[in-house]
Amino acid sequence: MAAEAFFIMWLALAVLSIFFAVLPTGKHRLCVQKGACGKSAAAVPLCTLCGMILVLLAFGCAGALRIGAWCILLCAEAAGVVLVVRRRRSKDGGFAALLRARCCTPAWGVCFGGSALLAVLLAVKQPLFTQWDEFSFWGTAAHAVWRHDALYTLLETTNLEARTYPPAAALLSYIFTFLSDTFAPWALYAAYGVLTFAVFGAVVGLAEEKKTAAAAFGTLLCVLAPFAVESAGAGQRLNAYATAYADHMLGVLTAGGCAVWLGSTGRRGTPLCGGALAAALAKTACVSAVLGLVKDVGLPLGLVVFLVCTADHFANDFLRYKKDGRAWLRLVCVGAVLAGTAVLSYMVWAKHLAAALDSDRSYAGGSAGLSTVGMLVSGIKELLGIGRTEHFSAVFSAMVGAFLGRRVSVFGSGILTAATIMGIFALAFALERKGQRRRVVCFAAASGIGFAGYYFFQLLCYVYVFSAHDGLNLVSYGRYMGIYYLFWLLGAVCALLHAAAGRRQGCMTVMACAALVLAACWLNVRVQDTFLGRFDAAWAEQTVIEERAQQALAAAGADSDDDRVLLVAQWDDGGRWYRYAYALEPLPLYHAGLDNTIVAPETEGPFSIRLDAQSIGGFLRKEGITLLLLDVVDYDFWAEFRPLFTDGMTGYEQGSCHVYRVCQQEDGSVLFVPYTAKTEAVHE
Amino acid sequence: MSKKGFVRLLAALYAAAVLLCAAGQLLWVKGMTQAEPRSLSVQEAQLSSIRTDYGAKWLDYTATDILTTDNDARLVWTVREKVSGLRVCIQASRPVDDVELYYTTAPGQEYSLERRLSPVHFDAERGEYTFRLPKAVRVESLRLDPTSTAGCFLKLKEIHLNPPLTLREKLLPAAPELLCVAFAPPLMAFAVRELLTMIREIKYPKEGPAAPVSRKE
Repeated sequence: MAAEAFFIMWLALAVLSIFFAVLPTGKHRLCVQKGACGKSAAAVPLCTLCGMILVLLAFGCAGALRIGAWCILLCAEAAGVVLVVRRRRSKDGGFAALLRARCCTPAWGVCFGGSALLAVLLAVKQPLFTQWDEFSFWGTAAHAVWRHDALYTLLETTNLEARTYPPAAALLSYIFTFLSDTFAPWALYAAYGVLTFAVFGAVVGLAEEKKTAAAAFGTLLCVLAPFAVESAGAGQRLNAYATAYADHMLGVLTAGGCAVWLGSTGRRGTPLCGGALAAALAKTACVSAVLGLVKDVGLPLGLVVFLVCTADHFANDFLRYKKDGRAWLRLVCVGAVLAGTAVLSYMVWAKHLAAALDSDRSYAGGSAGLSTVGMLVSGIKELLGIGRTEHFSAVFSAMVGAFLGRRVSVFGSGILTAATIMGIFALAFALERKGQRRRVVCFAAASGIGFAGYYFFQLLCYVYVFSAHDGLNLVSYGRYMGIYYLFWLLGAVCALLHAAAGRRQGCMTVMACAALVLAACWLNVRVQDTFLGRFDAAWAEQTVIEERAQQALAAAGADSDDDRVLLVAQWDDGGRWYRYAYALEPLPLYHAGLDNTIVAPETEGPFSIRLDAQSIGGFLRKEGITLLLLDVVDYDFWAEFRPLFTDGMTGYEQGSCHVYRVCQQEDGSVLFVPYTAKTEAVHE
Repeated sequence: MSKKGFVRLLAALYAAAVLLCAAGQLLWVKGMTQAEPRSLSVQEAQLSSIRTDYGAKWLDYTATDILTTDNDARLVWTVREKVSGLRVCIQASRPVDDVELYYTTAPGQEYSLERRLSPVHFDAERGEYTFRLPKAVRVESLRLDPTSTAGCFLKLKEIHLNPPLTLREKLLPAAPELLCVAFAPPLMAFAVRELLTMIREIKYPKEGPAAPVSRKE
């Protein structure tokens, strides 16, 4: 079912994209047909998808997510009808020609062909979630949104803990799963893939439509980019294209914003003004707005999009500033709209959080308890040496050392990666027409400044948000920096393809770059470490967990409102708690700091609930727990609590029963009755 | 290059790719079947971070089974022969994840991530993991990391070295090869076309429709 649901919405996206791509009529349409104005439709699928996410967010905040999704589907159907009618009415074949010119391009092939191929590969593999944060937030959030047809901020009971995270990734997966009657992780991966390939399409569209060869090698560059920035040496497991984490999505979307902007500025470099400028701004703002709603770090990345696009516009309009006073106005306008969008999308979610959860988004989290602005201010102060703490200096030198020494991509350390990317920019510079070269310089410079800013932001996070130990060790450094390197690499590819369009040497240069990146990946990425080489053994543990969770869900029945589950997973580090929280959604799971290890009252330990056979009854009554889910049991638990189980725990030992119903006795003691479909019938 | 020529080139490259892939598959199967199947036992292995003498009986785990003492349990077999893979049934007192196999190809070689294998097949009912080397090579030693949790009782049964290939493994190349067959030919065809065009431009700088675009455009 998940596959049908996915492809129906994939088709809906295609129809809506075609509708928007052939929307221009009259004079504009003629010029499109002739290819005179050169406005590419490559970015239309990306903008349509981002628009869908924004529409869903609006409906979601109003508490009508499902209605919003159906509205999108109905709009797509209406658009399909309009297209068919237009096709019938067009007698001279003009409409068909328009359709061919706008939609039969390599860019659209990459977008829809690539996403369909990825979806088929994933549907065959049927991967499950495996990584920590897929359970603690990304996957569980998407599951909760799908299960309840509502934004997780508006839910009353949910196992999701981090409810203040922005929702764009969960909404994206909702678009492609809401018609399905089961929640399949592969559909979420495929949904992320649609967005990724929509961006790749927009990037590839920067090479001219007729240049299939340049587009093909551009596609190769794009497809390899996530692997290139994730792999820090052979043998490392790679999650690119099959992860619920939003990091790659952030990097790709940032590049998408720049690609949309570059694509709408026209091939011949005629500076934008009037309606075309407004259209370009609207399209870029659409992508930038979604970027700000993916993750908190989307705000700095949205500002990077603003920086790059404003710099590009400045360079593009360069010769007019002396003659034309309105050129300055246009520049201010571009800057204001793009910076405003980034901040606005951040503020919208902050407002929603304040209304729905009464929580303050400006709080940056962490031990220091600073607001984002406060963090920035004290960070800049410390950087300048005013009241610099020892911790700041230590993290600062660790960050500098990591840039020089830590391997972050197939190209090597941060500095080598940056050098490679700058090399691609240099090729783009050499390839670009003379009048346009300052645009490449501005792009490279702006993205370089953006890198410095992002690096500084990351430093602040390590100093103020992470614990002292994690901050000093630069936890997940590669993953966080991978976001920017991915954007940077794709941005360089954008500049390269934009420069290569229509140049004889263009295709050869793109080919050489693709060969370079392919060689670097060949040496550092093993196919068996990517999702293509992963097999069912990788999901064995999660399969077992989901089976047991199904048992608990069956025990709770349709009206799960009165039931509450206590998970027993002895000596777990919290990971299994999150895994069950994901699998059990909507059934509430007891938690007080992920406690799921039951120990004797006098013992100490992480994630422990201190109980013995006498006190467990009172505890369960007080917490309203009605079901016991035995996941992992150790000898101590077995010895202490076995008498309370009516089957003497034989069900657990044989592996046939992991769910026990809590039966409170009248004398205050408690008994655990094994759950099977049969006993439950008698019970009722 | 004309359109017709390009299509012919593409077809030729596709044919070559399919043939290459088939030949590669044939050679791979031949190499894999050369490795002789035999069985291994826990007793033959060097154990580290594993106890076999804990004495206590719990559930149905008895003294013939093994107990991990920390999170880095390993079993090492020195085999010194051509190896294509390993199959093992693991029954554990608590769920295991991260079952991994490392191998070395020369004496004294360090175990490294580059020679790490993840299971390619898992039979949930039997708890049976199958590992396959990328190709059959002479292996010095094999290291099985059955779990990364301490205090886990394990039963390792039916440890087979070089289990025979299944029919599907014999006939169907893996997904990466198939993707290569699908996408490498067009890329190569484009590359050849661009190269030929460039050579022609160098040979006849001012003739033909493929004159270089002026930089001042």
